[in-house]
Amino acid sequence: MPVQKKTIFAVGLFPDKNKNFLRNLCKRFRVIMLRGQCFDPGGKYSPEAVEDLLPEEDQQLKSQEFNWELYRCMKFTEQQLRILLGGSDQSQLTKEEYERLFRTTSMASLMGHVFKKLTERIKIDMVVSNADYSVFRRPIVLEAKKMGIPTLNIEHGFFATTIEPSALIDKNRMPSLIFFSDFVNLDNQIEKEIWEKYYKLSSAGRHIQFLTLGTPNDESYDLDIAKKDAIKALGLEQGKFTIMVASTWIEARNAAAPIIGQIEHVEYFNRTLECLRNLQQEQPIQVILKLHPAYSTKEVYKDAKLYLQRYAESIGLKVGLITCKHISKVIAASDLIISPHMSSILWEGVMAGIPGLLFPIPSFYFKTYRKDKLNESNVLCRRGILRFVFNEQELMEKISYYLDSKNYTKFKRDVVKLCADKQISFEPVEEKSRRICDWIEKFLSTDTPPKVIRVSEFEDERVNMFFQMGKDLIRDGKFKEGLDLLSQVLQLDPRHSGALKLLGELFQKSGQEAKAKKMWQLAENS
Amino acid sequence: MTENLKLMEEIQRLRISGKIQEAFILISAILKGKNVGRDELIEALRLSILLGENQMAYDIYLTVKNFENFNPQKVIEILLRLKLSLKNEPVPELDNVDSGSSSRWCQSYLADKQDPVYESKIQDCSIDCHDGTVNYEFSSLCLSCNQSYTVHISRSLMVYREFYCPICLARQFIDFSLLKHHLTKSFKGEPIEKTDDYNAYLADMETKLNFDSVQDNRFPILCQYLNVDYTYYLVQLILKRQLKSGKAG
Repeated sequence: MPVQKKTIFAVGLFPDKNKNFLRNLCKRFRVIMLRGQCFDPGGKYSPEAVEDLLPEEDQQLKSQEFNWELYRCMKFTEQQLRILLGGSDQSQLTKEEYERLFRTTSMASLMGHVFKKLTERIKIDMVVSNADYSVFRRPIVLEAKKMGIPTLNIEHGFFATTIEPSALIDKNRMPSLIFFSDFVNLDNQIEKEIWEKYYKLSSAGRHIQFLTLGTPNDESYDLDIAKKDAIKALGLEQGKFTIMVASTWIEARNAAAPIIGQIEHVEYFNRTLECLRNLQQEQPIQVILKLHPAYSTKEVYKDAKLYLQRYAESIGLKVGLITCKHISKVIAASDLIISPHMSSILWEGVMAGIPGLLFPIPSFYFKTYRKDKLNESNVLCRRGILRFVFNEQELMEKISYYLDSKNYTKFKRDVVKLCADKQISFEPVEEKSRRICDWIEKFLSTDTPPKVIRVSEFEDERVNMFFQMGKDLIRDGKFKEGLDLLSQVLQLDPRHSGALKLLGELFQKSGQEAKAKKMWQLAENS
Repeated sequence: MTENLKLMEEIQRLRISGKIQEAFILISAILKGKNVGRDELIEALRLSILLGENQMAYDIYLTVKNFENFNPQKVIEILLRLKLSLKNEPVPELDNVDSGSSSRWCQSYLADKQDPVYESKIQDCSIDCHDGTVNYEFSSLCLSCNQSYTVHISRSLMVYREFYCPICLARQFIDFSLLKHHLTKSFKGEPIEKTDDYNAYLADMETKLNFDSVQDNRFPILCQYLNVDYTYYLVQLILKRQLKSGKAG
């Protein structure tokens, strides 16, 4: 009797990055996806669309339930605005803002609903997502976790260049921890060590297990492409030292990003190009301007390319190529990479034997990390494989350093040693995809698979989190919001001694001695 | 016809709000119908020019110029832009027009063959953040016809763009330095000082939002579904209020 394939619900795989992985997944498992996210991976097997497996009525939201949740979400948002804007009267959402919230939440809600309905009909053995923090994946990952279905997140970026927590200015103000699935697959040991350091600092996310099965991107650095072939294919000149100036993608994760971060990103290009112009007058160098894949939309690419062309021309810099594609060839053609951010491209460069310089965007780095610690904040920096530069002079000096072939040879030796120490080697995507599928198969075939933590087990963490938030708000003079949170803490845990004591102090300060005493007594008895 | 009139109003609204493709889809639907009049064809002609579809524009022109009630005087800008875009095709209707009532760029061209590129005068900005992407909507003034229109910029301020005013078809440009000037002017003082606080709060919230996974509590389930997208949404709301308020201006 043939063995029945296990069923995987795959969410958010990228058609331009995960064809190989999906092909492997479909070969070994029954794969179900949302129709809008389905793509043909090539090969004999394809994913099934969830919409084909559910009757029409199961694919619609119950409006009453959704409306209530939307109302709560709206009220919560207005409360957040009051806190953020200091009790401002601008906390009410406009019609337009409400409609935007409605559109996104109804889409997200429908995803969660459809998934829940599917599980009533089909046993889902695992949910595999790419980037589980995104709104296009999270509802399904969250619902799966509630039901105790194992979740695995694969990634599409490389994190080996991430700054370690040792460089944080304030350990309580660290970059947000975004992963959520039970298992998070990373590319290698360096990435795992960094993320584990961050997650150890936090009370949240202790359930996550990091795997290092390799990040299965279809296109990345490729050691089989010879430099001279890449140079020829890209229409560049042979025999010149080729410098890639990479861009990043400024996500709107904080209030500075859409304005200050974006301005600084363009200024990073201006400043770097001016340095390269000076260098080009003395040295045989050629320049590639490599835009982030997020620029690949026709209009965005056209705007940026024209800007860079005109700027380079205005300062007298000759640019060999501006592109947001051909990543493997562009890496193979380059001798040095300059980046404004700890981007994946720097790691891909290291693996291809190309040194990298990080010329950081100030509003991203200097508010979060200690500038003096940045060059010691990561194993790559500590070993001199990656360097932060903080001004034009340092940038010029470091480029000149790598123009010296002795230094370049030393760099290559250092990379070989790092890879040996961390047991890292170049592997094609097929190998990584196969290894992830092997792991899933093994995990699902175990009689007693490792325990997956259900969401309800986060209860204690949540209580403590609310208490901490409430305390912080009161310390900052936001009494109403703080008290609101403390009362939520006591609703969840009426014997929470910290909340009771704090309330006692507040009552005492406001002259309500009797109430204060009662709180302290309760705290003592708890 | 009433339906066409409503659609025409919507098309004009879309055109001025920078949604040229959407406007063109609607006008194409009208052109497929029976009651196609002069005004619909002129709108289609203007949209074709805005989209750079010059041959299509010329074909429409050949049809519309034969309408009995076609008055070149009322569409000088369109005819002149068509002539300049096509280079080799004749547009004889331009020979007898009076340029006095036309927009500044037309007068300039008809007087001394200059086709100036005007700076797009930014007056206002709104920001939309979704799935990490920032979309900017700039309300700009055309310095040729003194009318407002919208420019959409997505993902990055690394921009140099030349385009036609969707109303009078004057050449316009917008670039990083204009965007930077407007945004830094609008986003200064208190908001910049408060940005660190906002960011600390948002980063903190993002982690908590990520792990607070039980319903009926501080984070409503829909916020949990949105996860980082909820932070993007809050960023958008904050920036909108900052850019709008007197404090930010």
